[in-house]
Amino acid sequence: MKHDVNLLPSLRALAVPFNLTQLSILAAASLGMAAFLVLLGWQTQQQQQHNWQQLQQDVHQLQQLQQRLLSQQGQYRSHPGHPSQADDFAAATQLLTHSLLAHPSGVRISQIDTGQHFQQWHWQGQVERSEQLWQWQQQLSAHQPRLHWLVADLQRQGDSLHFQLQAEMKP
Amino acid sequence: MSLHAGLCLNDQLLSISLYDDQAARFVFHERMAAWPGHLAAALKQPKYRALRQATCTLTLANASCPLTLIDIPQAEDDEQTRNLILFHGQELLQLTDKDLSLDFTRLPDKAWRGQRQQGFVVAEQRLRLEQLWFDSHGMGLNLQQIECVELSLGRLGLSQQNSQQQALLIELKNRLLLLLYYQQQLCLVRHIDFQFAGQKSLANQFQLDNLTLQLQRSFDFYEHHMALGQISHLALLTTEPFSERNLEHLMAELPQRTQTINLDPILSPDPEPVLDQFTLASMGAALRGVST
Repeated sequence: MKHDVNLLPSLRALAVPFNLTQLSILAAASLGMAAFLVLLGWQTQQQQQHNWQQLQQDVHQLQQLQQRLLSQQGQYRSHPGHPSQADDFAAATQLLTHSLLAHPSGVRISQIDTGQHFQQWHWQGQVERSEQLWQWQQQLSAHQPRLHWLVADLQRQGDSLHFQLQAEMKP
Repeated sequence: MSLHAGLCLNDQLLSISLYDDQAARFVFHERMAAWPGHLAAALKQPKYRALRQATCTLTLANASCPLTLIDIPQAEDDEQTRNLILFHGQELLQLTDKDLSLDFTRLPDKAWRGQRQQGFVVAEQRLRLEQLWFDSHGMGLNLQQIECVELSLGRLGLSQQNSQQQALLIELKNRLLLLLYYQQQLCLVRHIDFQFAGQKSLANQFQLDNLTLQLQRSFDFYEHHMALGQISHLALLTTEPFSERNLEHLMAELPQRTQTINLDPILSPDPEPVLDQFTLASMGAALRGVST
C-alpha cells in the first residue's frame, strides 16, 4: 500500500527512459563563428523501466555537459566582440536541462543544437506518436512562455516519426 | 555510521536535523536563511560535512498544492494514476499551474467500506523541484525524497505508538494539526484554527469546549463515514510546556487514551533546538530515512 509521497521520482513520471551512453559536444567554435553546436547522442532503452538511481546518473552527466558548455562559453567570450551574456547562458542551460528531464515517454531526442547567442534552439529525434510531440511542446511552452515553439518538421520514415522542434526568442 | 538528514524548507527559512542511527538520536539541529546560498557556504565547515554522508529527505512547508484528500482515479499503475490526476487537476484540485509534479498516497482498502478509492495528493512546480534537485546535487547532498510537512510531522508520533487506530494532535503556530491514522497509514488531516489566549495562561472554557467538539466530530467522521473503527489513542505533540498544560486540560474531556510525546531522548543535547514546527518537520523528515 502506498502511504508515503516522494516528489522526486515524479520528475521522471513523464520522462522517457534515456541513457546517456555517449555524450559528445562538437563545438563549431572558430574565430569567425559565434555559434556552437551541441550534439548529444545517446541510446534509448524504452523497454527498461528507469528508476531513481538512473535519474541520478543522468543528472550527473547533464552537469558534465553544463561544465563543457561553460568552457565553450569562455572561448567565445575571449573572442573580441562576442555579445554572449551570462543570463542568456543560464537560461539556455536551464532550458536544455528541462527539455531533457521532462520529455514524455515515447520521444527520443537525437540532437540538440543551439543557435547564435543562445537565442534559438533545435531538437531532432523520433517519436512513437504525434500526440507525444504535441504534449511535449505544450509542456515546454508552459515552462518557457517567452519562447516561440514550433514543430518545424514531422515525417514518417518507416515505422517511426522523425521530428524537428524549434524554439526562439519572441520578438 | 548511518546518518539521516531532514531538511524543512519554506520561502524564508531552512531547518536541518541530522539523525545518527548508531546513537539513536539527533546529532544536530540547525536553522539558516533560505536555500541554497547559506547551506552551500555552511557545508564547507567541518560541522556540516557529515550532511554529505547522510541520506536526505526534504520536506516542503509551502508546496504549490498542499496535501489534499481526493478520489484516486483507477489506472493500471502509479505512473498512469499520476498522469490522470494531473489531467483532471483542474477539476480535482483546482490546479492552475500545468507544469507540476505530483505524488499520492492511498487510503487503506477498508476505508469507505471499500466503495471509494481515496488518497492524498501533493504537488509542486516541476521547475522548483528540478532546481532543488540540482542545488542538492551541486552541494554534494544525497537527496532521496521530497515530501510535505504533514507526513514528516506525523512520523514523530508514529515512531512512538503501535495501536491500530490513532490520532496525533500537533501544535503549530496559531493552529493545531490533527492527523488520524489506520495501521500507520494517514487517513484524515485537519487544520484546526485554535489560539490559546496567551501561552502562559489556560485557554478559556469556551475555547476548549469548541476544540473538544471539533476533535470529536473528526473522530466520528473517521469511525462512521470512513468506517475505520474507533480511535483509541491520542498523542499530543506540543512545543511549549505552557500550552501542553492547556492541552492536557482539554484531553480530560475526551475518552481516548491520551499521552504526550516526549522527544527529549532523541533531541541533540548541544545545542538544544528551538522546537517549533520547522524543527519538528525537519526531524520527522530525517526519520523517514530511519524507517526505510
